[in-house]
Amino acid sequence: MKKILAIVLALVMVLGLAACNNNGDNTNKKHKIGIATVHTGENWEIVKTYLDTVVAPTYGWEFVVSETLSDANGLIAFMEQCYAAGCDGFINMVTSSDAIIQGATKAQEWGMWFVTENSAYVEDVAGLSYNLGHCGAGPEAVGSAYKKAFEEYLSDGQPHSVILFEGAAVGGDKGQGAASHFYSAVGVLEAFQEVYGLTYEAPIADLVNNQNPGEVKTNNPDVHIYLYPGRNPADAVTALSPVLQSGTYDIFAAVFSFAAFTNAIDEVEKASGKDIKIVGTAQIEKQTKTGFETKDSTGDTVLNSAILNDLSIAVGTKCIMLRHAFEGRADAMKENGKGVFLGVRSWAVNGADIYAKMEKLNTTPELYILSADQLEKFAKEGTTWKDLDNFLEEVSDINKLLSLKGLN
Amino acid sequence: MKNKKKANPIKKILESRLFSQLMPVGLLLILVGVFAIATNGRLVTGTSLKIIVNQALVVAIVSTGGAFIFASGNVSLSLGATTVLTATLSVMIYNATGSLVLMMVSAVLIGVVLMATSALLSTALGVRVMYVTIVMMTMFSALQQAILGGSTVAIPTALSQSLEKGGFMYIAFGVFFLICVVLFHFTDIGRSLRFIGTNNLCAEQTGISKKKYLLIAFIIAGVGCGIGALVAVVRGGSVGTNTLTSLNMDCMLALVLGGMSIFGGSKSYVYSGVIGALTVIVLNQGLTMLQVDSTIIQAIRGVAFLALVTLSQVRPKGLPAPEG
Repeated sequence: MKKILAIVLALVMVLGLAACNNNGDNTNKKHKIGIATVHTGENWEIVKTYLDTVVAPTYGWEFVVSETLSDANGLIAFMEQCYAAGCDGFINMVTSSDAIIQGATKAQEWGMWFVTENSAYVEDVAGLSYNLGHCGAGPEAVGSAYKKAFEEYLSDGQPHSVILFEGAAVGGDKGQGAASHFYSAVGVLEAFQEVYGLTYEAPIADLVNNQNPGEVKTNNPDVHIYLYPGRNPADAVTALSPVLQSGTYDIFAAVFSFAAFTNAIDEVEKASGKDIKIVGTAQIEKQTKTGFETKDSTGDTVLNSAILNDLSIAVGTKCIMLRHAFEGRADAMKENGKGVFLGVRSWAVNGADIYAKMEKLNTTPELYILSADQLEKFAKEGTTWKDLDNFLEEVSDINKLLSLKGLN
Repeated sequence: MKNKKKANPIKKILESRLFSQLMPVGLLLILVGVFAIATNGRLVTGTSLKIIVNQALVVAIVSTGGAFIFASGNVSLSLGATTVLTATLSVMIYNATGSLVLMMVSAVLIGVVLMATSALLSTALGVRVMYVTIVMMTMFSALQQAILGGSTVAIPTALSQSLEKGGFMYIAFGVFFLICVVLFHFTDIGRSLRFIGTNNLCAEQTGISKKKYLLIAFIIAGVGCGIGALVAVVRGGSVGTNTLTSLNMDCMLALVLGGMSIFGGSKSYVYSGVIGALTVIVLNQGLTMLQVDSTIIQAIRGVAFLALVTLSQVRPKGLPAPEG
């Protein structure tokens, strides 16, 4: 037994050493990009397809994609694996400022280009030479989209009340939670304040930064606002079911994962015979289509308004930023030597008709917003982050976007 | 006339002490060898090996402490929650006082107090360790959630970097591991815990106090949680409610992969956690280097672990079954 084991182990060592001596052919070295993701599900699969079918062939890159990560420890561990695997660029989607600071610092140490998907700008590491900055859902734009959607609902002269699932809004303005969630909640509260002339007991930012769920005092007996901060939709469904059953609220808003709440809301609608409108942040995916096309027990659509984000355009933008850096033009993606923030604007979609056109996006390589042509165009010498920002602004208009893609 | 049954040689090998000692090390070396070949040697470069060691440290430290509990035939499910709560509180202490020494001392003390509480509750209430630690795990997680809400706490990046570059993680691990090796293999503590794990009734009848040694095991595990918390803070720089959520399972997995019997007892080795943690990281790193899809990596890991656990957990015939 001992002899056999000794022979096996010796063989392994010899083979291992022989392998160490094999340097391989590095003449055609491809750029390798590590991607630390926090996403799962259909939306993330669309992005993976985009990376494989559009970005990889256009730029000649390879991707190393993580399991779903959630914190700085996981990010650093995966970054280390990517560095050992030869990655020279990294897209980080772990959004806490601590994770971004740790990640950008590590990337700097290794000489690895680093770009983050985040809605908030982390100043602490913005000046690091290998940090290209951030690109994510533009938080103010998401907030404006929410405000706009709610102003539309509240403009009928009737008193309305809302339950708002705020997600990671708490601390979103301070780099702790999610900035897009924070500004979404701010947008909703501002819309209520302006339409009904409400006087809140505290500044809106303080109300959103309160980590305890509860009703906001509006000083209007007919208008009720219930805020529920939390990252776990399943817990939120359990906690909010009795609140929904009170019959006080006729609008439900979720800054993410609206679909987790639809069954609970439908049960309340069945019991009370009262329609509850659902407004939610959503992606261009089947779940959103189903929400717009399915009728609830009151005959209204399950999803009434969607604040649409597209992850593939955000990922494509980050790839363009990395491409410039690989070509020695990192400065084109910086402002005064610091990484920039490029905000992907959200679209407020109020109804199935418009969504029916939007859903065609991302279905073929040409129908990604940043298709191969655009990836090449924006990676050319002479283009800067301002050109990218202008493009993101241009496509924030749904009609312009649909025209650009020939879907109008 | 006697119908003597011939022992199955394969079963005999599987049950042998030598096999249980060498199999995990052999497996680790085989994995390293295979991935070294497959990655054209990139897995065994200095940088890559350093990364593997760094990644294994937290699990290695916490599971080394946990080995004392597992050796006694008990399972603790609160190692991860204890470590994370300890990390949270020690970072808060640092932020309140600015004292690195206080942060380190408090981390160890908090770890010990939290783990010792589990042991005392188990012995005082006469409830099995596993059930008590399930409750403690839930309580500690809830406590951390209540303290942090959705936010995170962090030490200054410069501090975490200087501790990392100063070799704090290796020194902490090295000192703790050496002390554990001595305690486990060369003192009454290790022998008694293994005896309790083999047969707690016999152990008690020979004058070994199960309560006393269980408390000692939990205190040592608590020290491991405290040091593990410090290393996690140095590596990640921050702690939140999403930090190290799978640590407990990772530690259990590391112990089993490293050759620790799930029944505890005489086939318990204090180095199991280290070997197991390295095995998991080598598997992850090797597959990542080969650009295997992350979902496939998870599947491969699951299948490999299941096979190895089944292979390594053959309970010798004649060994009395543990109570309950």
